[in-house]
Amino acid sequence: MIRPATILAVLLAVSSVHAGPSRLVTAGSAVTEIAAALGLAPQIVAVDTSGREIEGMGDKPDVGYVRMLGAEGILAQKPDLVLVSGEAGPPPVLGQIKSAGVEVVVIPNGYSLDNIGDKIRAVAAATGRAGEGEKLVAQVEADVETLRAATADNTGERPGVVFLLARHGGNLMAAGSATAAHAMIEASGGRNICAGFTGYKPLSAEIFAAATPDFVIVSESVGGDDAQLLASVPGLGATPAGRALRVIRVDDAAFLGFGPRTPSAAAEVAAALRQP
Amino acid sequence: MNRAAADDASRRARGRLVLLAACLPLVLLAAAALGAVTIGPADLWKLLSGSADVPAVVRAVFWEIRVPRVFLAALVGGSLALAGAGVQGLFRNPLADPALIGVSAGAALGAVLCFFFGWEGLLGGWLLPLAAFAGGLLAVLILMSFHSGFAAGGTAKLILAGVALNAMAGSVLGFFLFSASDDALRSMTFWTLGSCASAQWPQVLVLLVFLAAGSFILRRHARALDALQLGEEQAAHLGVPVARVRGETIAAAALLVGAATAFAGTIGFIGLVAPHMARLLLGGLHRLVLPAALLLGAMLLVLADLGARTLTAPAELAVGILTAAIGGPFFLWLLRRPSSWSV
Amino acid sequence: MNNTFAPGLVAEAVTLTRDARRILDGVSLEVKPGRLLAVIGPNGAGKSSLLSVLSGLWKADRGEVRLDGKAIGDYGPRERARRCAVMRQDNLRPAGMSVLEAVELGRLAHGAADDARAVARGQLAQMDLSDLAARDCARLSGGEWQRVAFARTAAQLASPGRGGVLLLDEPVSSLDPAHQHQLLGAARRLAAAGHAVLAILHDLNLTAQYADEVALLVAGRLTVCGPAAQIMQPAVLSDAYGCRVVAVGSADGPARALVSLPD
Repeated sequence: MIRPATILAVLLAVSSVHAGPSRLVTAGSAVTEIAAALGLAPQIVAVDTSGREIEGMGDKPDVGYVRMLGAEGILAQKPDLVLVSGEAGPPPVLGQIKSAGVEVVVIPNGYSLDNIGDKIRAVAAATGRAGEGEKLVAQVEADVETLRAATADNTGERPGVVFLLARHGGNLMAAGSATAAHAMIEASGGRNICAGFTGYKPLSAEIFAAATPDFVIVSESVGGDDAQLLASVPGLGATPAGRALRVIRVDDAAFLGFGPRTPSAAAEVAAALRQP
Repeated sequence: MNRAAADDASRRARGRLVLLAACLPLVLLAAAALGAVTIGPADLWKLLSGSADVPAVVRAVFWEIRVPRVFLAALVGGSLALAGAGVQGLFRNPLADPALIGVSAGAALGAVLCFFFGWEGLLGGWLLPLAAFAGGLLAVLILMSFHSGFAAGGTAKLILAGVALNAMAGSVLGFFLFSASDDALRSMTFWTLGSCASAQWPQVLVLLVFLAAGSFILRRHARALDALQLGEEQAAHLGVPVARVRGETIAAAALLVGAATAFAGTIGFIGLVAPHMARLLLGGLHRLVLPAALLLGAMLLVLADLGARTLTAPAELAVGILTAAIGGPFFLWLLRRPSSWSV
Repeated sequence: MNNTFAPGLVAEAVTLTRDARRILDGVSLEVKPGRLLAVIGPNGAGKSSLLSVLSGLWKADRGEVRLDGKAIGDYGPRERARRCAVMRQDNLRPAGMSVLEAVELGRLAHGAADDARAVARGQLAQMDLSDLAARDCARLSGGEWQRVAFARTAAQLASPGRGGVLLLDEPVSSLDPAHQHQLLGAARRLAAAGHAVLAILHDLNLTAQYADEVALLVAGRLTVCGPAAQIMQPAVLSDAYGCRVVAVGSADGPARALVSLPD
């Protein structure tokens, strides 16, 4: 025997899937950014720490570091959908959330401009916003085209670039290959002089022994003016090459997030790199 | 009169142990009642009495997330503390930590290798704890190869070998941390901070088996550990098979710490602090110190984990930060106290 | 080799070499039930090493130690501990343990049915230590702790109907004269009760007063061994210690005392 209340509940559940989530928790800055760009900001009830940097998300509850989520903290936000990027974890926590009956969708990471469209489509599909998704994809693809057109006429030597990341206590780390920063330097028409190692490494004078950069890219959040910054880089600040260096400041989330704003962030850097 | 005083003291110590044992269920219940998802007393009673009249999500949060987590924290804390009490008794050194026998460093190395090669999700997520456990055990097996039976200075040699092993594991660890990709590095860092967030019932059962085995071995040697406080030679004269006690105590500590670390990462201070609290409360007899340390360690980590999941809710704090916040001041106080240990 | 049953502890031609240094060289002696044997000798003569070999803790390179007629290495640790109790010089104090609990440790090798507490209380009473029973071992004076250690060692042998072996390494080194007599008097009574007692001593007069036999160990060799009256003579001792030892008072009266003098 099927009670009317059950039928009602099933109908409500079905309609809620079609209408998209009413309470959404996102983790991973690109995922949050895409969801917000798809017009889901009002439905987002909580974001991870990186998500709070994104415009309009600053006052949402913080479910913590994306790799260190807690099942109960997220479930306490009573979400009907949890949308996370590939690095979210620990993995058992995602399993716990699922076991409480809440849908969890993992959007795979990808450090390539061509992946952004896939991420957007995945978020759009999970939230029932395919139409908005295609519009956003078209816009991102147009931005990528613009970037490619701008960097295509680059001839001759590409400028040497080093990306510096500020870690605990102001220690600077240089981005090697297999990092988001590396992919972005290449996409912007630069040449990562630190491609000889993988991952982020503490900055030392030896990095500049083999090659000297023409540009330094750092996050906007790094304090001090350009001269102070260069002075703090060992083996660089005092040399003539160091004084001739130019500093480009970028929004971390846009530049490294591989989200909707990333192509235009790359275009800005590409423009800066082409200035004589 | 003094006959009565001696009897009073031992009765008081036993009474305190009973009190500790009575506190544990209260702490467990309090920790199960509190969390980011609010569960009122009425719902709590319904959950505990098996009533179906509770929303499914709340039931899932309680039985599948919170309760296993509380039990995991209790078992991990108890295991670390029990291992600490055994190792401190064996080495007759209040600063001895289970980490001293290399098991934590070995476990960390196993886990870091897993992250380095991106294998942490294999075997349904069980490869990571297996690798950590294997790493811990391997470190102790290497250590035990320096355990050449009973000879004067045998314990000092073990401690020194442990220091060397720790340093070696640390350098290999540093190399992998240096070479790791940014993603793996972040996961490794997270693991070394420790967490009970990944608790699931199967892990709770596995840990329970290890804790039972470790308790059984150490309880059998409680009297021998007492005698070892007189010095190894004197203990041997009293009839203690010193080499066997040493080997089995280290093996038990390795099993306990290896299993705890495998599921919760490296969690410091519990193994050092809980045995001291036990001794301060109950005196020096190991048949009291061992169970008291187990109970205190369990309660300490349950409370630290409660803080980890509620203080910044809905975000998680690393539990290692909180155990150190409890353990650090206690440790400093210990250093200030006129020592009753003659090392 | 003489393998006939002999109660007590027998050492035959024991030789011990450590780091290419000969520490004991062909030492033979017998600790007999009912007797107190004192081992004396200069510092570094190998007295404590001898005790480690006699108690079975160290294995001799050559020679044999037999406990109640059986090679000491053939005993399990508990059975050995029930027959042979040792009071070491380097007794460490157990943290957080009361005096009573420390003395009860002497009964560790005795079975579960053993009433360790009753035995421990008896031995504490013997040593006039009952008032300290509840005291933390860390809060005892050096002399009190030495008496507690003796009480524990005596408790280890308190088995009715069988004599054991008691090995004492400088048991009175921290004691005032009154308590030196108390402890050695207790050791004598244990010997009289049928135990075989060996004590390493430094005080020549106490040795002369309490020992039945004296063994003089010099540079790892047992130079002389025999009845106390025969060995505790100024000529023998002066020779052994390399300093002048003279007897004061009448040669055979109780007031006779041995005094050492600078050369």
